[in-house]
Amino acid sequence: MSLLLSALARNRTGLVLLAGQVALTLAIVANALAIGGRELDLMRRPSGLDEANLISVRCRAPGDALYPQDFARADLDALRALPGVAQATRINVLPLADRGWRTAVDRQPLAGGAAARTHAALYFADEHGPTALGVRLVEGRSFRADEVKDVGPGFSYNPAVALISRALAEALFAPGSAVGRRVYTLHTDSIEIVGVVERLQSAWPGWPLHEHSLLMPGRMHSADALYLIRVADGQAGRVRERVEPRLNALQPPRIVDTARPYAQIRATAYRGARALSLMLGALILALLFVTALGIVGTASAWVESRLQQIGTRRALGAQRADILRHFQLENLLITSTGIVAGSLLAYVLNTQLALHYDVARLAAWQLGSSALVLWALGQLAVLGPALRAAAVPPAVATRYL
Amino acid sequence: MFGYYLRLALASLRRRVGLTALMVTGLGLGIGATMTSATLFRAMAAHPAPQQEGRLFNVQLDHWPAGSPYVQPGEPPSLLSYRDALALWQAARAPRQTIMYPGDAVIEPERQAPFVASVRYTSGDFFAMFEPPLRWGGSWSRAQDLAASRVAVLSRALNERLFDGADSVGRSLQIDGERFTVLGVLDDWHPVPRYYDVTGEPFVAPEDLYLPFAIGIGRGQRSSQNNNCWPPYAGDFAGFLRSECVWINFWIEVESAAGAERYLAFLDDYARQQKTLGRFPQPVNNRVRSIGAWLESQQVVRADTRAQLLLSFAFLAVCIVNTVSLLLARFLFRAREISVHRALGASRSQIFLRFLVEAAAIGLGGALLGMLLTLEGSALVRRLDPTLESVARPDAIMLAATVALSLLAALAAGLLPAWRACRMAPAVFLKSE
Repeated sequence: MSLLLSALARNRTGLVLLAGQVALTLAIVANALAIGGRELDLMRRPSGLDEANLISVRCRAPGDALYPQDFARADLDALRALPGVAQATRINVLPLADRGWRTAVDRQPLAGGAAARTHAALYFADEHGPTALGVRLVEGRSFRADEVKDVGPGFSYNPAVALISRALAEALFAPGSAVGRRVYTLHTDSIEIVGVVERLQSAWPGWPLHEHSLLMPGRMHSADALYLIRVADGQAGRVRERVEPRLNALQPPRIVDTARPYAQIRATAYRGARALSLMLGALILALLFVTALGIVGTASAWVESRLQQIGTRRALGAQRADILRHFQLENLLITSTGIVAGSLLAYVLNTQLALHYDVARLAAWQLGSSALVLWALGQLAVLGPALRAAAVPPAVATRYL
Repeated sequence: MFGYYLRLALASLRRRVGLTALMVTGLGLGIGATMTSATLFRAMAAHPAPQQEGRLFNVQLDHWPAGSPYVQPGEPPSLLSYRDALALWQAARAPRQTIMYPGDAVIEPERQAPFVASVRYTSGDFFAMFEPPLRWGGSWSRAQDLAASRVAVLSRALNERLFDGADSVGRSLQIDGERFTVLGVLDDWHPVPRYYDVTGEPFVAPEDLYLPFAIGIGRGQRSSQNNNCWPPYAGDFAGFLRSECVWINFWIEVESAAGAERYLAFLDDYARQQKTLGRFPQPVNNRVRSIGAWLESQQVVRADTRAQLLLSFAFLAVCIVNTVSLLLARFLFRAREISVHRALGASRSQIFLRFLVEAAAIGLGGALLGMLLTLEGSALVRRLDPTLESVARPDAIMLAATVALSLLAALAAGLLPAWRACRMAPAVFLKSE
């Protein structure tokens, strides 16, 4: 052990540099894990929809200010009649699509400028809307055909009933049930909650209140018609091919915006998060690679510069295994020093990042696993040079006399 | 002398190819990562129109109700309501004004299927102010603006699609059921970012079609991007126009910053006057921002791009430390060589210089690898995010910067090892012969 320490002491600068590199690597890798982990968590959140079986399509009619209602009825009939289609609805906006309606909501009437209890995204669809979306009703009932009223440009009617997402229900009415209670928005009279859906996200993944939604019965009047089609399992590809030709075959032919699978909407919504997590993953791998390179390079150099020493020790009776163990212990000491320093550095860095850039806090497991990987990496990297050192024959000692 | 050192350096690098490869790889990775992020950041943060910086200003009014900020507390909405935009336009307190919003329209070409095109409904001053290059024809006059003339300006891409890229000025075009006359055709234009309207995707190409502002209003078309309403508006389009919803972009052109200040004073007067009518509940909080200030306030450079740049620098730091370690280790072998050199009369500074040159040679190797990785990295970014197609492109300047950065990093890394090498006492190593 004393031999080990004296050997290390002779090469102080190199040690400090290597331990410093390990420390920096640990600090960056651990924080990258924290940031990337949060992005991945955000991306993994379910929207509440049956996304795998959803297709969206938008129709325009030339010249008209509003899409004609009889066109819309014909569209929906045609879409629902397509083989493979389970349900279709006309909806105002789509979850995750970055374009949407939202307003302040409270459980008592809102006065002009007063701060409301919370906010929610608003969705309007016909009586088949909840089925088409694929949201799961956990309390109460869905809305009926007779409850569907016209929704003009703007928010021009008072819906009598609504479905509420569970998160919003809890924000407004916990601990009691939301069913049967009334909710107020800035423009409408009270709306009666008739059902609670497990989950329905807003259009904005980055919005802190992303899980707050109200789904209300409404017949849309807008410049274009946005339809959501839910297909039977596995039918998405086939139906998507048929949607445009079917709509073009109607009279007059509809001008169709491409039929889009929901995967595309989700990919666009989380594009930034995905890019960041991929970049962080690449950074972690590259950092570990570079540190491994450093360990291999410096260890090889140190072994070569100590050939005489190693030969002498072998001549004095040390076994190959002893030499191997020496170098691995040496590496372990360096990496451990680096990891201890790096752990402190990681927390300091994380605190600063969290303060200025709103970055996720570092979890113990993220730091721990990074440290473990670095230890293992160090030992693996030094194995090659250490084996070469162990292979030095005792005779080398005599060569330099 | 320099040439001699360079030859020595190359010879010694060749002698330990493995270690050289490790050093070049370690440095090249760091350079490549940093320059990929830097390319992205530079393109996003670069001023798209420096020549317009002191003349064009974006106008913001704070008529938002209390209790719920537009986006950030203290910041007025980024768009205007129709009634305010129209009032400012009619007051005509700046030599040139642009009032505009994005929409879409159905184009029915003669021999093709109808399709939806993106439209910018704008006043004619837009073309004089933002200077999109006109290939043929011109734009509309103020009289045509007021008369809501059925005229259009096409982008180059749209002109290619409809008229095979020919000079289509004067020809007729069916848009949303009405006949329009083509007044002008733009050349290729892709300001990065699309600074006159940063809502939506600020880095994708501008709209296909430009129509007079009054056409969009007359047709009852709302913005295809942001219509933010607080409180929610009631009724039809007429009600929408009277509401407090924001959806209109407003820019002015003035001769100087003094002109901008005068305009701000006018805005504040307007706000105070509106307060007497019961609007503008908040304290007066208007803005007249230059292009640079506007882009910064709208945070066009994405947060994750900034994070990427910072992390790349951290990575580069680790790579430099790595290079220092490896260079130090490398120079350990050279003890005898250095001793002989010193014994033969080389001074300390000559040894120092010699090893710096060696470090620089590594830097050149790292630069080559770094350039390759920057090109590959940017291609990867473009694949991951197609809206950054025009932004993630390293140009000659960035590649030159790559070389410079690599050399600088290698030289910085080489300082300590070179100093250590020249400090070695020559006699010690000669003794072991």
